Amino acid sequence: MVRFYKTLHWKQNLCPPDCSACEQACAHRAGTEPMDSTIKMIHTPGDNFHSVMTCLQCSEPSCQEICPTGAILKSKEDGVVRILQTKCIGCGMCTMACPYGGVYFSPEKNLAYKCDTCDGKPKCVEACPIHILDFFDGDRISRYLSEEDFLSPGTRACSGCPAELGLRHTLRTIGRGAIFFGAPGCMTTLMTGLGDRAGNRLPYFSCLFTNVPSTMTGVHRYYKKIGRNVKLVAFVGDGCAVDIGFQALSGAAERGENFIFICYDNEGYMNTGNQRSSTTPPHAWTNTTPVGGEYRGKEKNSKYLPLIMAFHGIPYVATATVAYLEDYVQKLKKAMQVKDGLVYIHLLAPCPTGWRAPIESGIELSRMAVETNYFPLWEYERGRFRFTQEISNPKPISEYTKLIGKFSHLKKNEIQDLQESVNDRVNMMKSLVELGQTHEYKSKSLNRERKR
Amino acid sequence: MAKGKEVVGLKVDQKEVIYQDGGREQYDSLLIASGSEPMKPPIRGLETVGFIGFHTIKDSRELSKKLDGKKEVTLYGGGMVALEIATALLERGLKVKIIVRSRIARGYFDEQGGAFIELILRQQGAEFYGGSKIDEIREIKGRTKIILSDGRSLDTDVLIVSAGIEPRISFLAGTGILINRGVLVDKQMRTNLPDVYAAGDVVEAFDFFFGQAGINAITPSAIQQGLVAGANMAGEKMEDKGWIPMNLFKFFGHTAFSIGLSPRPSYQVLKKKDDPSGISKEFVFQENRLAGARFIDVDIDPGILRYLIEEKVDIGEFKEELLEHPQETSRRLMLRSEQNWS
Repeated sequence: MVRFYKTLHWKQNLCPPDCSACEQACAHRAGTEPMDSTIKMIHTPGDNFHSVMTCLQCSEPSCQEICPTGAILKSKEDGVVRILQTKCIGCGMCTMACPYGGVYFSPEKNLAYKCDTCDGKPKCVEACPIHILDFFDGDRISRYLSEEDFLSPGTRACSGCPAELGLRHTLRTIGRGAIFFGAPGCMTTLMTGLGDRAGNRLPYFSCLFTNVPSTMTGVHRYYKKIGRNVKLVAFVGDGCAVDIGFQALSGAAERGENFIFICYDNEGYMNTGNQRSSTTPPHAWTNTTPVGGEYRGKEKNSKYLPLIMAFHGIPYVATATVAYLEDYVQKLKKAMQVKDGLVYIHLLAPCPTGWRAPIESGIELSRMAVETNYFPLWEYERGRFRFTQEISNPKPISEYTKLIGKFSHLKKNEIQDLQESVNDRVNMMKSLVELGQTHEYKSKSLNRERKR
Repeated sequence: MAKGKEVVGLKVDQKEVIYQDGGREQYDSLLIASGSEPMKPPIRGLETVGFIGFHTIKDSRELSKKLDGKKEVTLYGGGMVALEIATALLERGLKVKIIVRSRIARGYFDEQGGAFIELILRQQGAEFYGGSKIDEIREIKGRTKIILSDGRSLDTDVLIVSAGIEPRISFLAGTGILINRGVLVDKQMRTNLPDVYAAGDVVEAFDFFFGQAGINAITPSAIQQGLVAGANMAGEKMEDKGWIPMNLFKFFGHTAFSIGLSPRPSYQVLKKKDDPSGISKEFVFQENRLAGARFIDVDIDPGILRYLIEEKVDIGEFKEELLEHPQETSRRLMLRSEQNWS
C-alpha cells in the first residue's frame, strides 16, 4: 500500500494581507543570521489574494529527475526532497523543471535551495499566527484503513463519483468480518458487479428499498441464535433511507437493533435518472422538479434525516462528507464501538452527473458544502451534539450554488431563500450543540448503555 | 546490460541490433537515444582543432588539462553552450575571444538581450568578433592561427568550436527509418519502424505550439521524451505535449531566462526594459494564453512559466499585472489553475 509522509500543508488564500511570519521564521531557521527563505508569500492585492507557496515534496520530483549531477534526492525515510549543496553546480535546471515553484536559485551563492521541512520541525508552522500552516501527517488516514481494497477495480460508477470514494473507504475502514446490505441504487451496482462477477470481496446482501433494516434485523437474529456476533452495515442512498425505507429504519432504531446504517445522500434518485427525493434542496432542478415556464425547481424544503435519527435516541449519529475523509473514518471507528443500538451516518455524496457539475468537482463540492454551512459536520453521542468541523467564517451559499448546474437558474431572491434555510438549519444545530455543553444538561436515560 | 558496445546497425525484420564486434542481440522494443554530435562547419584545417563541440565530462576534463599554463581561449559560436564555456573560462581568469557568425544567444534572446549579455562578458574581458566566419585554421608552433572570412586573423592557445549539434544517426543508414535531420517520431515517440522508439537529442519531435517536427536538443525535452517513450514501450499509451524551447543562462551574478515563442505578428507582446541596469522582461501572448517570455535579471520561477504555457492557463485580465509583478502573479496564476481557485 502507498505510504504517506508528513508534509507541509496550508489553506489557500487565508493569509493576512501584511503577514510574512512564516517567511521570517524560515529565513531565521538556522539562527539569527537571515538566509534565503524557502517558503514564499504571495500577495497580489489586485485581486485580494494572500497566500503562501513552498515545495510539495513530490513523490516523483521532476527536479530530481533533471538534476545533471544527482544533487537532488528524495529521502525514503522522511520523504523530503533535499539538495546536496556540495554537489549542486548552480545550473538552475531544477528551477525550470519544477512546475509548482518549489525550488529556488540564489545568484549570490550560485546554488539552488529549497524547503527541507527543517528536518521534521518546520519553523514556519510554529510561526504562523493564524495556524493555517500545518505539518500534515498524511499517513494518519492510511493507518486506519485495511491494506486490502475490497472494491474491485474498474467500477461502474460515473467518472468522479464521490459516493464511490465513500463506499471504498467504508469497506476499508470496517474491513473483513462484516456483512454489507444495500438497496437499489448507484452503489448497489458497484457492490453486486456485473454478470457473474461480484463487485466486491465482502458478503453483500441486496435488499429491496423498503426492507433493508428488517432484513438486517433478521440476519442479526439468526447469527445471534447460532452464537456468532457479526457486524452488519447498510450502505444505501437517500431514496431508501429518507423516503421509501424510512419506516423500517425508524422501526429498527426504536427497537434498538445493533447495526450501522449509512446513507449516502446524493439528493435524489440518481441511479434511475435524477428524480427528486425528500433530501433534494429547495429550488434545485431535477427531472421531476423542472425549471421552465411557471416551474422553478423544487418548491419544498428538504428533510434533515440525521437530526430525526438523533431524536430517536439512538447511541450515535453523525454527518460526514468525502472531503473530510479522516473525519468520516473516525466516525466509522466510533460507530463500530457501539454495541447497544443503531448507528446512523449521513454521508453527503455530491453527484456531478446528476447535479450537472464538472466531473472533477466532487471533492470541491463536498468541501464547499461544509464551508458554506450547507452541510455542517457534527456527531451526536448519547444525547450530546458536537460539531466536528468548526466553520468560523462560513462562505455565502452562492459560492456553493455557482458550482452546480442544478442551481444555475437561481435568482437573487431564491439564493437568499436558500441561504435562510441554510442559516436556520445551522442555527438549530448550534443551539443543540450549546445545549450539550451546558453543565445542567445531562441526559441520563440516553447516557446509559442499554442491555439487550 | 551491454556496456561498452557500439551499435552499428539494425536488422528490423529479425528485431536485432548489430554490434561493432559483429555480435547481435534481439530486442522486443528498442529505444534509440543516441543523442547528438557536434556540427562540423566546413573550415579548412578543422581537423587540427582539439575541441569540436563540448558535450561530455570528458571534454571538460581534457580542456582543463590542455589549459595548463595557457592563457587564451577562442570560442567559435555564440550559442548557449559557447556562452556557458566563456563564462566559466572568464571566471578562471583566462582571456576569452568569441567569434560569432551573426550575434550571440540568437536562439533565445532578441538583439537587446544579446547585447546585454555581450556587454557583461566584455566587462569581464571577453573580446568579440561578430559577423564573421572562420575560413581557415592553421597550427603554428603550438599556437592556433585563425583566419576569418572578413580578412581579419587572430592567434590563440586553444580553439573550441561550438557550432551547434546534429543528431547522431549515421548507424541507422539503410534501416528504412524515417529521418529528416533527426529521427522522425510521433507523439508517442514511435518511429516508423515497428517497436522502435526514439527520444532525446536524436529525434525530430513535434513542438508544443504548432505540432511541427523539429530538433530541440535540451535536457528538459529529453527527459520528457524519455518518459513518454518508456511509458509507451511498457505498454501504456502516453502522448508527449510537445517540446518548448527554454534556456536559463547565469553569468557573473546575472540571470537570463527565455522560454517559448519570440514575438511574431498577431501575437500580443508586453515588454518593459530598464536601460542602465539592463533589467528587462517580455511576455508574448497568443490570445489569452502565454506563449513565451524572456527575462534578464528578473526574479522569476522558470518552471511556473513553463507550467502556465504547458497547461494553457487563461491569463486574461492578468496580463498587465504579470508584466508589473511577474513572480507573484505567475505564482498566483499557477495556484489558481492548480486548485481551481476563482
